[in-house]
Amino acid sequence: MPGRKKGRQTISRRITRLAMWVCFTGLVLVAVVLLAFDLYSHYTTARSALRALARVTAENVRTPLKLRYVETVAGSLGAITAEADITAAAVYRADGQLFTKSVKPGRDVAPRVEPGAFGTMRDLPLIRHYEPVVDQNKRIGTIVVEGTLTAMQERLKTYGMVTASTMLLAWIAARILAERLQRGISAPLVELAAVAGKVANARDYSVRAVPRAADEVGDLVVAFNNMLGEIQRRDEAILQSRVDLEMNVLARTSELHLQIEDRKQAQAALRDSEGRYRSLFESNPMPLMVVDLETLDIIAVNNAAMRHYGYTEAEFLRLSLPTITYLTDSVEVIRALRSPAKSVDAGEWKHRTRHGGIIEVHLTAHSMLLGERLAKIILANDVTERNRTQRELVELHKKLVDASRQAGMAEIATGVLHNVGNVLNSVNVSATVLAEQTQQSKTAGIRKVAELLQAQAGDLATFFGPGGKGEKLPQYLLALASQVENEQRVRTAELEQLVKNVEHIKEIVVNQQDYAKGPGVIADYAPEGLVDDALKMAEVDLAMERIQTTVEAAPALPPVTADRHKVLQILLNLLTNARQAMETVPEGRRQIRVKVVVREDHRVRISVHDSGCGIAPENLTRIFNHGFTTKRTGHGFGLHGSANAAREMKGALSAESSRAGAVFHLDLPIAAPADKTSSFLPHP
Amino acid sequence: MSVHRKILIIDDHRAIHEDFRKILAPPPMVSEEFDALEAELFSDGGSSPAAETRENYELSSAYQGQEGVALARESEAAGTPFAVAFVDVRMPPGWDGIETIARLWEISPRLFAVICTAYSDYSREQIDEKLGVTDRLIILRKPFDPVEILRLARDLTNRCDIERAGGRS
Repeated sequence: MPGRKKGRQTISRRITRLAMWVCFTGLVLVAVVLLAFDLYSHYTTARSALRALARVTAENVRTPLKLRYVETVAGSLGAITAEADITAAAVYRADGQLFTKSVKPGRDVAPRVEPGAFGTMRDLPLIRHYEPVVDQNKRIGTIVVEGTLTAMQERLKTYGMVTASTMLLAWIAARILAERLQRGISAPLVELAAVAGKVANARDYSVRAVPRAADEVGDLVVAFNNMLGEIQRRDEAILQSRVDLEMNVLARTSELHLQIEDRKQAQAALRDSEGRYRSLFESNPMPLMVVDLETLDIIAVNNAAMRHYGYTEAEFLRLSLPTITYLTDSVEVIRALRSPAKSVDAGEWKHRTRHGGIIEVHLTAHSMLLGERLAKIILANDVTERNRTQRELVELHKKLVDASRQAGMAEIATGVLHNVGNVLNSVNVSATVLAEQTQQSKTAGIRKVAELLQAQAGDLATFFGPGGKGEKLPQYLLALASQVENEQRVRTAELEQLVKNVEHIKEIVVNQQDYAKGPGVIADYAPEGLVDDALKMAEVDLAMERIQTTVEAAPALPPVTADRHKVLQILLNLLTNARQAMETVPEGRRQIRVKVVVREDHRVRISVHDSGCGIAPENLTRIFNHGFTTKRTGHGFGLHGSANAAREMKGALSAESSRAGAVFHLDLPIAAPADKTSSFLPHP
Repeated sequence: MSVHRKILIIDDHRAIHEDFRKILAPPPMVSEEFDALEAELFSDGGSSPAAETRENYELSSAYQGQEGVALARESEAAGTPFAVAFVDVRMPPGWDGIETIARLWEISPRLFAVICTAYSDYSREQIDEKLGVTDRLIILRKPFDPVEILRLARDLTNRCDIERAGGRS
């Protein structure tokens, strides 16, 4: 058997032995009990039979004995001993002397017995029964019947044979049973043991025992297999975790290696970069200085800083940031630098140079640790030149604005000149006509008449007489009078024209003065009148651009309280803007519509609509900002100023825009009814 | 009376037209009767010189460039072209003076053009650039001297007359 070891009792043998012992013991026990019982019953039966036989014989021999019939008694006794089991029979007399006997060959009886002998005596394998022969209550003898128990011995032998053969059979049966049992229990167990041994030896948890039957052993095998599976799983898990662990350890180890490498490299790089940064700092073209954040002392400077400020390094190191900062105390410098941010834009400062100059610098500070000290590395960007340029630019811009404002004025002046020019033309012509007429006047005729009369003074009668020259004089005088009257009329007309033209010029100039003068007087004005005045002033420019102008005024408009000068300024500005907005619009589609309506908020709204390009939505509010312009040449009176002026008059200026163009609304407060006539104020 | 005394005035201001009329075609101030009487009474004095020096100009008025060009086209078609045109520079909303002159010359190339301007809308260079260098263009500044207008009208109509006569013969 595989796996069997020396010195060990195999299960099969133990089972066999156990079975043998069980069989043997059982068998022996059964045999002994049965034999004892059988022997006993056989003995008692034999004894009873012997006793009964003795009693019967005693009865039978009583009379012969009494009579002493020896033959009769001997016959009775011979009959008894004919029995197979009866070996001897004897009758003793009362005195114990043998009377007669009958024995089987080889056997004999005692020559005498005790006179009182009674009962059964065993003398195995013989058994004797003593039975008294009683006659009339008098013992007359004793009969002894001797039986043998050899049959019983025979039975014993047979029993022994049977038992032995049974035990042999039992042993065989036990052997067979053991074999069978071994196959059913032991073999799987042994197999299981083999598997376990294999598992134990080879640490191979993948082997499995094969369950043979669905009995306890089968269950055991299954359980064993399950256990193996579990072990295998655990083993695999353990293996896996070990592998994982090893991998982790490996990874960590390599990581550590790398880290160490990195650290080495970083240290090398640090050493390297330290050198590079140093040179970067030293040779940086921008002035750099390192300042202790606590004391604001300058700890280090680069060459550019020395060059720029003029201080030597030694001088620099004796200075602090506030000492070179112009017109500022150190608190402000600290406040600017002590920011939690790593980099901070410290703004612009004025710094003193060594030679007393002041430079403007833009400081950028970066935090750094210098040993244990907090420091700032400060980059000083000299913006003196840039700022100067900027200021110049601002100045230039201002000049440009001024120039464009003047240009705007010139534009207006040109318009004025055009208007004045035309009127002046008429004035000139009128004056010339007057001069010519005066020169050619026939008033000289009166002098001629007077001279003629004086010459004819001596002979007036002839002169006025028939056929005389004087005859025609009254007619001439009449004609002269009518001529002079005519001249007078023409001259008066011409003079009137002249006065009118001069008035016209005055009006234009007054308008111009109104336009140009400073803060005006608040008074009440008819809104249509203001619109008309503004349009008149802008007329030339609008006409130049072929812009059609229409005015839609609501009927019965109330007067507004306003500064005429400001309103005209605003309206002119709006008209100019409208005109400029339509520069790209084709001719014939350039339209300005001025609408005047009364609003519910007790204001009059003058709206200037144009058919121009409109205003971008993002610009709708910005256009009122100071300095905002989308035009190349900013206008003299910006929308900012206009909006301010409108506000000053308790009015408002607003804008809307659509695809059709832009609309500007000037809202002006309606005049209080009380002071309605004190309106037209003369110019100061 | 020459047939080439026709003058075209293009200006958007009515007052200017009036001015031109006063200078170039003033209404006769002195009646014929008065002159006769005076001559009779003061026979030694002779006749008045002023009336003799006056030319008779035929003035046409246009208030827009387009209108002026139309008039020029009509008179050209009728065989009585204008000799001189006084043209304003600024004449909103239509063509400006420069454009009007350019178009006038398309119709009447021999026309003398006097451009009247109250201010320098265009410089001489700009005008030359637009209209070409020509002696047929005279620039006149407003306000103008009536004598200058008279002189220009007379000189230019005469030149025109001579040119046409020369051209015809």
